[in-house]
Amino acid sequence: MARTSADRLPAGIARLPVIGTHMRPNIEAVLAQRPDLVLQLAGRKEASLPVEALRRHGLRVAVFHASTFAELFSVIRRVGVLTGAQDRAEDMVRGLEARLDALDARLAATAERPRVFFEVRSPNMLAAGQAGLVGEIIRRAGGENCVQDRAKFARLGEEEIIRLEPAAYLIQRGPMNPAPLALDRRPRLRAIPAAQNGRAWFVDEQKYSRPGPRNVDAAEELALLLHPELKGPALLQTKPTRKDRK
Amino acid sequence: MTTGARDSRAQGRDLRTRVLWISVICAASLASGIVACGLGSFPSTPAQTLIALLQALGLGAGQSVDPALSVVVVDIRLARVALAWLTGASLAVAGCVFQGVLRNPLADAFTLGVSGGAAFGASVAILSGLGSGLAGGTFLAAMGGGAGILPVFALAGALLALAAVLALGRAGGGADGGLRRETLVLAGIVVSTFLSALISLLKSLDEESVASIVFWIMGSFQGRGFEHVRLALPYMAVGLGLVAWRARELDLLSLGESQARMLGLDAGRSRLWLLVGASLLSGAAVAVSGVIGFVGLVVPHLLRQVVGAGHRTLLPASAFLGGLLLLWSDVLARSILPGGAELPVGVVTALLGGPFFCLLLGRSARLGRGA
Amino acid sequence: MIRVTALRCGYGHAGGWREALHGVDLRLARGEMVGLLGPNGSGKTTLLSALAGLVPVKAGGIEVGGADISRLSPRQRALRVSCVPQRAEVAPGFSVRELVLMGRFAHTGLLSGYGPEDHAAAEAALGDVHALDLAERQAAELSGGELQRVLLARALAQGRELLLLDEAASALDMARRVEAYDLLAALHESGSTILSAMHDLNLAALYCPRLVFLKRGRIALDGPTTEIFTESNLKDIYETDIRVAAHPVTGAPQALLVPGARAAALG
Repeated sequence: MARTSADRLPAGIARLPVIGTHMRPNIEAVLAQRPDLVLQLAGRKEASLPVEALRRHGLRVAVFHASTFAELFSVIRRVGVLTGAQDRAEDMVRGLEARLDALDARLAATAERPRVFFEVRSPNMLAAGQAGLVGEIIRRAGGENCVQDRAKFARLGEEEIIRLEPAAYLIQRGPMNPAPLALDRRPRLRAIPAAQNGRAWFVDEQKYSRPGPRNVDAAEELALLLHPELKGPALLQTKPTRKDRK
Repeated sequence: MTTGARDSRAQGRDLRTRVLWISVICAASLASGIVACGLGSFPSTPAQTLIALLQALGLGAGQSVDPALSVVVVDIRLARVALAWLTGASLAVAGCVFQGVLRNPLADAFTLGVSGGAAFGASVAILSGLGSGLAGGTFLAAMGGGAGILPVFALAGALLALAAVLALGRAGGGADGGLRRETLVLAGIVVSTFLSALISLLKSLDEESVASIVFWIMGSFQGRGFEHVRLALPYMAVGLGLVAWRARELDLLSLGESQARMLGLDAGRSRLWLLVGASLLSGAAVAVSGVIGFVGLVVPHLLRQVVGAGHRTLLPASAFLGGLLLLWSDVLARSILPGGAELPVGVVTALLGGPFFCLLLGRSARLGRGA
Repeated sequence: MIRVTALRCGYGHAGGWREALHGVDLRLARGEMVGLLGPNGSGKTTLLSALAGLVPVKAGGIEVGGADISRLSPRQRALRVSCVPQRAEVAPGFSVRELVLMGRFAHTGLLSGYGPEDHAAAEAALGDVHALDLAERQAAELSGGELQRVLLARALAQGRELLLLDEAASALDMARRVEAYDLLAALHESGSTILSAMHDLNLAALYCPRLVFLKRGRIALDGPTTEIFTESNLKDIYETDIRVAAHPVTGAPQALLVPGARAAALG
């Protein structure tokens, strides 16, 4: 077993050997591990070239794509099949689906779908667009992604954010956005409803922007943020960081 | 210049044409600034825009304006207009200086490695995680009145690159211990190539920050505000002052070192101060806006054909036209894509400047002089 | 006015040092007009450059107007010495008027620009070389002869006390050449000190009361034109047969070449 240098969760994998970065995996390092199976999440072109090379070396390579919950679950099932842990994978997926269904049921009680803005990176602002898991998380959490761009990411100016009038503003914190400022420290965005009503939060990039079971945690967490009236013990997984404490 | 206008008639006529040109460009800058404040994805009528601008000046208190519109017009658009104008002016003036000192119409902050130095300095600042990642926090935090570490790094990088180029130029220098302009240009290319390799190295060392460096290097005014104007203005003012003060020396230097010295110029010292001034301008511009090409190359060259090579006219004209060009490039960058999406302004100037650059190359090759 | 003592100077190269002047002594009194002559590569341009402070002095000294020029700032030096360079590159985009105005640079302060007196001096200088009609032209587009007149005007605008000219009339046609040297003679009359490096022996003999001949980096001859402009002296310096005859109008000595003499000299 091995990982790329960017993989940090769950914490247990930190001691695993590193085979390069997620953009440029090192073929020699991969081969040196003599793996039975290589898994890759589809991404950039330059990352898929070395993996093609691995395939030519006779390794079993599985490349996955996960930009919706449905795709994510099928990936988990498939990995289960490939690693001979079919039953555990099935159990996991059922558990995750059940949690999402429960979330849907609770949200059915409320008609309000607040407009959410998800900041992927700043100050060279990058927002989550309609494609990708973040949009799905927002939707399942009872919100509406106010960025209409069909792509995964949209490069937007502050003026456009003001025009979009988001009721909630999410700032992911992680490798892509290492040191973002809290919304109340951005004077030009003071007029947006999210800032006026104090509905802005930092969230964990690992939870929201990396496909995995943690995306369900993210949906539950966000649902509570957007709809505090739903508060119930089953939904409380982790406490989000309040934006005021930077 | 002003005293000259009072002198002979012919002198006055010559000067009047130039003053006219500068007035035209100056008026166009002002008008453009106002028009640009009314353009963008947020809906605004010209009347609302004007009222918002007037209110920012403490006028038109009687009118009421949507506070969101007021933020968009004043804090976002006007700030970007101001920053784009200042950056364009700085880059164009720096270009004038580099071209005059090196006596090469194709010289600019890039050719000399100064932009590369500034970009490298800023990349170091971003990647070293100073202040836990300057890419995000400190870069914006600088606006809050905190220390502007990024510009300091960018300026240091620009000046170090300049020092390296001058040292290299001297090592391969001319017979009288002076500098050969060919050697300087070559040294600049060597230094900027080396620096871009170093930036690539930095990027490879920290792939997670690549995106922020790449977008920053592309050049953009997105997310910039008056705090960035305040951040860059002191450096730009000092740089512009240094250059403006030595405009006549730039005339002499563009005749070549030996004529300049014959006419009483301490060529070495003058060249050093001018290059330092131009590096301050380029470094400050890079620090607040990233790397924006072609303005420093295209603007002085174009204007030399119109107002002549005399730097007392060329410098202010370049400042205004450079400001104007970047101002409109930024308007295009923020409004040309549908759905409020933005282009990096560096892409716009490169797209506009690229073809012009080719034209320039062909022209100077045909003339067989200059470069 | 000029006092050059045991001057040695030359040029550094990538490979080392090439000395162009090996100990030159020269004195010019105020108001003299001296022609500097000698074969190609004899050191004429180097001597003028050293006087203008453009070439570093290796040994010996140069005083101009009683001041050691190595101790003068470039500005102070330019106020004492005006130069007309042999070849001048002119960056495109400058008008003739601008170029001549640059001669006034040393007269202006660091903060002040060119004032009315600077413009007046530039106009006067342009008038003196009969180039007022060129004032609006692009300097880079002038013919060689026009440019030399303009560069002379720039030197006049800079100062008339001491003029150093390097082949200042070589690109001029006959009429312009006479015009230029008549002007220099008039300046000489009015008190200017003039040292002019020349190729044209006859022009030198016609206008300069005193001649200095350089040969291989040393002064070969120095004296009144009428005394040293002799067939034997010229034959020694130029290593070819040269005859001297009197100018039909002024009576000044004039050199005449003899066809085939060089082949005969080489044997």
